[in-house]
Amino acid sequence: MLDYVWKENWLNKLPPYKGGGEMIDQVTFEKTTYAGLPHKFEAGTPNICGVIAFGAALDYMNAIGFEAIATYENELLEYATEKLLAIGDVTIYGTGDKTAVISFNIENIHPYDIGTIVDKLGIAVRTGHHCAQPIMDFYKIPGTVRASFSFYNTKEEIDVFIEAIKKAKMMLS
Amino acid sequence: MTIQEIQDEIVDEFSMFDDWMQRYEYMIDLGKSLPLIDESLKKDENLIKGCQSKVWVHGEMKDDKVVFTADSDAIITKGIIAILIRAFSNQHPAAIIEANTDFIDEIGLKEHLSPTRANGLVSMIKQLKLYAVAYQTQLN
Repeated sequence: MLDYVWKENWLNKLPPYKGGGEMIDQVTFEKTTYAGLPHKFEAGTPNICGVIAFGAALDYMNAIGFEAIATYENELLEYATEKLLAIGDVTIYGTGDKTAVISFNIENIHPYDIGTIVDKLGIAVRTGHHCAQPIMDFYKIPGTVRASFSFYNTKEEIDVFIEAIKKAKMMLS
Repeated sequence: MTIQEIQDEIVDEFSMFDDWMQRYEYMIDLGKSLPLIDESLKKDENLIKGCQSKVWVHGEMKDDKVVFTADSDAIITKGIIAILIRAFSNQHPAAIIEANTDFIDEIGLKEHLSPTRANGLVSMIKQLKLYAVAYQTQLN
């Protein structure tokens, strides 16, 4: 409670950086006063669509169940890992307990080149150092290709992804 | 050949391909045939800024003409710089300065590159032209 009062004091002193609807109390030539907390910092129309969509997204995920999602995503991860390693010359970075993401490289091929080719084949992956340059330096690599899978992905999509990687490897080797 | 003639030739070559996969295959081949830069020139001063993969370019004067060599750690980037070097190397600096770069739009290169690569392409052209400006100043 003390913490809250302390913060409230400071927030009341802090001038709003942005003006707009619903953040004004009174405006006269002499002075302007602002609405109470938190409204004085929330100028304009709030992100109504965003809030409703977030609620709908949470309902959707709860209906499927977080446990079911985790199990399925792990299945996708294991499936993709196995298929990817079978291509050959593939190094996967990070193989411990993780979410459904695979960061990898193919021997002697720059990650950007792989990303460019698979992009042309309709596969969206992330390439680069992922804002984690220290670990790239540790592995002495310019970056990695990173594919991530979510519960709305399918094994068939992973098959398409694997074919695209194979094609890229063929073109770039 | 003048820069314009070489550019027209490149546009002709690219028009023969039906799809972008073939064009990429061609660029990869061009990248493999790029005259390699001397290892000693792969230093930070020759690195082009604005590229996400590493690109080194070096230009030197030979008989009043600028000769470019380059390398990159990514093969498609190497193909892109190979195309540029083919158009601009072995030319008089004044010709390089005046040359347009319309052929890049004509072969559709820029629109098929990711935004970071397209920025890199602009930086590469700028670097080649900067070399030409520097050598032209020496000639004057």
